[in-house]
Amino acid sequence: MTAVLERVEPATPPLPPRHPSRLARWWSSWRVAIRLARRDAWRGRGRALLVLLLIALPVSVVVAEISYSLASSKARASVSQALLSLGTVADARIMTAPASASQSIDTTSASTGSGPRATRADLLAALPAGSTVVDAGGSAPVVIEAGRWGITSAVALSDVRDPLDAGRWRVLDGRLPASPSEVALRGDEIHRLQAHLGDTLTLTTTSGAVHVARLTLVGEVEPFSPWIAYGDAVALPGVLPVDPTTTAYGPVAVDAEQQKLTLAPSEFLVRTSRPLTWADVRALNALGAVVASRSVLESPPAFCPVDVVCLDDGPVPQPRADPAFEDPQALEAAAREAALVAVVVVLVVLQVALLAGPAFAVQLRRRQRELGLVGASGGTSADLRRAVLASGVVLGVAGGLLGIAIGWLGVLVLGGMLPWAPLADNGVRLGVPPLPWYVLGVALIGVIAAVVASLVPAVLAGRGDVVDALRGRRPLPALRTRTPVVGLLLGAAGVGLLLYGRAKLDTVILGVGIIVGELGLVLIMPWLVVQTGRLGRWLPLSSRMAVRDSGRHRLRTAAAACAVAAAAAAAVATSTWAASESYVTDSTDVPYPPGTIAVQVFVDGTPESQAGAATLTARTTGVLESVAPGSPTAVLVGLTPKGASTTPGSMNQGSVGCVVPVPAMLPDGSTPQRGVSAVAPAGGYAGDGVEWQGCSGRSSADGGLGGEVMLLRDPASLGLLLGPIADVTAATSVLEDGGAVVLQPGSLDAAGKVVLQSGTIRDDGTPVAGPPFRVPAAEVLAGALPASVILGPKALAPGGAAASLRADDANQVVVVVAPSTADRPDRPTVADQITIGLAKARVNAGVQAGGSVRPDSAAVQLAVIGAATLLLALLAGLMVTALALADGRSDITTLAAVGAEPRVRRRIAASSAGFVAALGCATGAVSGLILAWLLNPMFNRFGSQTTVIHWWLVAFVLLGVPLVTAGAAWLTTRSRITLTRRRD
Amino acid sequence: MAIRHGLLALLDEGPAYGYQLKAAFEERTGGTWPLNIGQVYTTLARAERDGLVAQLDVAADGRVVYEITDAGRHEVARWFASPVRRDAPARDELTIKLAVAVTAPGVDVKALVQTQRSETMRTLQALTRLKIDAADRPDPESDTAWHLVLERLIFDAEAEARWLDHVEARLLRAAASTTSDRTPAPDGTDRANQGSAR
Amino acid sequence: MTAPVLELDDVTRIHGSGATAVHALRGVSLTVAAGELVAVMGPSGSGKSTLLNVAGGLDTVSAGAVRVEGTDLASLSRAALAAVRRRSAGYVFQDLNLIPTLTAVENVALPLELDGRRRVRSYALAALEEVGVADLADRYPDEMSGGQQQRVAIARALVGERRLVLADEPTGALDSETGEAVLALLRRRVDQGCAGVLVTHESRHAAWADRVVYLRDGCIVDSTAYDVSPGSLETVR
Repeated sequence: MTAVLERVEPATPPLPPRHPSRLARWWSSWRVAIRLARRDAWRGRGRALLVLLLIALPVSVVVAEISYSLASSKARASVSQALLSLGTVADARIMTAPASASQSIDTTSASTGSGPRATRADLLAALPAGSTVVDAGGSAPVVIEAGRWGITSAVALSDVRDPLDAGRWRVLDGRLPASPSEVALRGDEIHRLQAHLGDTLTLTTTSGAVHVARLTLVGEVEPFSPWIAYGDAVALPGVLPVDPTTTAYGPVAVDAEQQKLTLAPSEFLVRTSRPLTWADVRALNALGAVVASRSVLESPPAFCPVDVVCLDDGPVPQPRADPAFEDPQALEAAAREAALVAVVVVLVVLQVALLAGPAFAVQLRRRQRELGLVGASGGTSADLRRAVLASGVVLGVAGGLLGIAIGWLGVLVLGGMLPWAPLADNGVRLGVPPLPWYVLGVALIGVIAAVVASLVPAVLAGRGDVVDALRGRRPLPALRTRTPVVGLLLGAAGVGLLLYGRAKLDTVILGVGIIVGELGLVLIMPWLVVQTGRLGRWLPLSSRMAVRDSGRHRLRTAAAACAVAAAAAAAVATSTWAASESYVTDSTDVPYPPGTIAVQVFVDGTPESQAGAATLTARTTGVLESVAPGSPTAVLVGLTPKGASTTPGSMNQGSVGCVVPVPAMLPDGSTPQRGVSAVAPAGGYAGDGVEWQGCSGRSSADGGLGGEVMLLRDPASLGLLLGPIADVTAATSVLEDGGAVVLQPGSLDAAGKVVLQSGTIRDDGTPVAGPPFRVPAAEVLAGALPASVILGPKALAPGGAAASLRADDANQVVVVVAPSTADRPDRPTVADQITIGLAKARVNAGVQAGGSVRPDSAAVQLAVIGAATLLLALLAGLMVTALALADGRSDITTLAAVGAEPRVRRRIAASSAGFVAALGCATGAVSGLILAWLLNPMFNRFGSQTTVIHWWLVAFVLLGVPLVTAGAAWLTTRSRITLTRRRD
Repeated sequence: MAIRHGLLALLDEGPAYGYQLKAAFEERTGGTWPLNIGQVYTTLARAERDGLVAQLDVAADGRVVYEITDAGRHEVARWFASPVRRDAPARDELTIKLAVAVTAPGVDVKALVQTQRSETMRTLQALTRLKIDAADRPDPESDTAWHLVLERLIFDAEAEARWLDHVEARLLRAAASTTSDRTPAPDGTDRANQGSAR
Repeated sequence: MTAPVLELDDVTRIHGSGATAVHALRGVSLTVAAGELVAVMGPSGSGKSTLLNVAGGLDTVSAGAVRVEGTDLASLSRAALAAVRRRSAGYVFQDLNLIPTLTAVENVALPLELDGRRRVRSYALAALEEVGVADLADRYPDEMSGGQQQRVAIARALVGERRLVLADEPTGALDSETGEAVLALLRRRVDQGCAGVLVTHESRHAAWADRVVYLRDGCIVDSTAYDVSPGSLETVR
């Protein structure tokens, strides 16, 4: 047969040429890969759905969060509240304010001028002709009593008879007051008073002149919006004098003669003949009022955001921030926060990738023949890699989009559509939540997670031999000894970073250290899987097979075990920190001991306070004596440096705090702020300013004035103040000798003295710190924490260690009483009686009952942590077992073919899942303990070196979680074996 | 014997001359086995003697028209109904040659097998080429029969080649075990003695 | 005489090393020209599959040279070898030739798409037409019979500019009737100007080739070429 020399050209269309551009060719290859991935995902829908959900759920949570916060932060809420406060009839609500005011559209922001407020007559003159004005505002703080029950409250004084007021109060029972002898209350208050409709209530004012009114309770009401009135009760105007200090926009100018009743109303509802425009509002602003106009609220002008102070045609120009004043620390703090967010994102991506990894690893084996065919048809290693990565992309994109949909729908349904709208903001439905374009970025992170999950299988696919793939042979890739060694090195690097971060107190470095450590664990895990797989020798047959099978399929087992390990490590670490912290805080988190009541008298700039701290204290002890006669008391007084201003309520008061030596500084996770006085061991100090880190780790700026260092007037009352402590006599004698009692552990220096420092603020606002001084002290671990440091009178005496300080009632006064009368169910509690008595005595005070208010949340915390770990272990273990069982190439199919009993399948599933969980939990627990031990001093607020381990939790993690996982696998596995064709 | 039954079957369709029968037979078997007219007449005479056919007529030029008898029809029906027996295999030259060669000293059986196989393969190739070339033969009537016969030859050749493969493998196995018997063991004793000890 | 499409020049392939070394091929030389179909026969373990693997660059040789359309495969990188498989040589396997998640026309177009060509559908359809299964273009492999799948596989193996088809027991999973049809197709395509290497253990199928080569233990022990075209069966007998 002779060879045909010329090629017989069939009548076919010409062969399309190779695309000249490399990019186009690259894209062509990706198109094939994506097509293969798409179709393969459709074929293995169950597996694909699993990965989809793993990606979609975290994405949906974040998207829901974004959408919700945008929906509820849209100023719609404030506009809705403002509209609600108008009721159904009124066209506007006007609040007087000093003239030349300016406001935001929704009235939440306003800046007041300095002129007089508009009066009713002014308003009538300024409003369009034919307008009606109704008095609607003002309230009076009162004590309401009914029989022997009483409450402190405030009464809104509003003309509810006028039809203009319609739609502002919801009547739940009875009716609104129609005459000056009637009052309506909110349901809670009626309940607390144990009153009924028709009862007579006694209302006593607690500020300004004393005025008592007896009113009949005629209804149970509720304002439609919290903006409507300040108060829990409503009565007609004139029944009680309005408290000028509770009007909006600054106190109404008080008449020189304090005793005169000020009846000038400050809030009005109006109905106008034509809608009030923004121009009208601005005119009224100039006159001296802030206006919430219905027409403006319903269609706000476009030139201003609704919550920013708005001028005639635009928002108030913001002064350009002077770069010289730009706080570099603020930038650094923002960058740090961004870095922390990035660390968290990386950890979450890693966890999702570890959970989804097994699915891709199994998929790789299933597609082996297909990939071999691609290789035989001329696909390069890159094409094979792309084929696997494409399935990561396809599932990631689908999962991300699904997550966006779920998140958005969740917010829509829960916030807007359901009748009870659990997410509604203040009763205002969210409507359609917005979905900004950057949620695609969140979905992109989901895609990245899926691609990372498919990375290792992709690399293996590219390296694989085409011939082996076609034959269906899968030689076990040799475990390169390099990999676990690299893993160990990474683990060591992670530990190093953690130590470095701890020294530098830098959470970002810590986060990076955790990531590096976890990557090291991921690299070591396959080796661990193989080594522990050998232990299966001692197990019964089916378990041995399961363990051997897991060991042979290193990739998927290692990925699942790593996911479990991460969760277990987190659980053990956080529980240890919580335990160590609560070990110290359990006993020191309570301000006042059980069985006591503390009264903190506020000496501020109110008219009542003008009486002076001494008078107020005397009134307080008087009330205490009348409510709980003969009960012992302890009085704590704040301290100020000598030379500071003594005007009560003035911001220039000095403050005193205790300072701790540098090594024990605890910044709550951030670097010490500029201006913190750091006392060097040698005795000098660095830094300036009055902000410092106190012994408790809190800045004095957020703890209020004082509170750190206080004077106990009578050292003998120390026992009452602190509750039961080990040696009260020793501590008392320390006080009496001029020393101090320190209640925060770790605050003493080497010589057993506490370091105190005081500071003042100059007239120009710059802080000035005084020199630190040392007071001999005793450290006491008490059951209460009224202050950080307590001094006795002797220390303040001339020649005492704290002679530069003086007692300042005006700063703070706390009277702690241990009442000898017990609470009875048919009477108000002692604390309530004290509250009412103080209110009537015109003492502005806070009353707090001592004792632990916080229930023991440790158990709850542990339960939550344990449950979360278990959940993750279940997820990982069950998933990987289901994948193994469905995988036709595994030994399990062979077992079925040789006629093993059906129960065997369950045993295998249980062993497989249990093995993964046990391995993960063991490595996780060890890592968690290391992590906790390393970082405990940092996260523990008090710098305690004690590491307390919740052994119960560790035992649960090590034993309980694997057992439960195995049990769950046992229960959920079908025992019938279906023969699938083994493709080996 | 096959020829007798073949002719009988043809006669069953209708009386015919000897020459007619010869032509029909050759056509129906694809021309693979051309018949000698004398062979035909001899067979017919014997069949007549056995009572399976009868002379119907004698034409003027001496040609005899035969027709089938009832006994003959019966015989044809029996022939079609019963399978061809294979108990007495025909003597095949190749089989005899190899059977003898295997035990004959000084004969390179491997070469014999290889040579034969190449020849068989060449035959097979030729037959296959015939089949390919005949793929578009227009004559349908004799085509099926011809293809049947052709494929029978092809399968026979294939069977021969497979048998030769089989023989070769068997020879290899035998050679492997005898060489190990004959190779001296490391300590010098004859491995054959060792074999019995195993 | 044109240059041979495939040339194996004293090719040796050894797996492993030392005592456990396996000589899959020893000094094998073979040339296949365009229009020529060569059958390779031999028992299992004789190196047939290895020969096919090295011919297409799926496996490297330990000694000797493999030249496809004049290019020595040893000088090519992995990516270039893949290019050879895209543009010069196509494989047909015994079964499961087609990617199950792609339709017939997508399977055929695969080498072209991997090569970076666009709009290849009509070309692939024409290729399917040539093998007589154009009506199955948009069907998936599991909707086709074995014979139809093999036809599609042959179409894919020779799509584009490929001139060498490497077939590994392509009729092994088919009944004899369908197998014959597949071989007839292969024969026709080779006649149209391609070169083909057919590995088989069935003599009947090997007989379709112009030359039959016997492999034993990695060596070629014999080769038959048919030279004479018979006129009738009498000559053969």
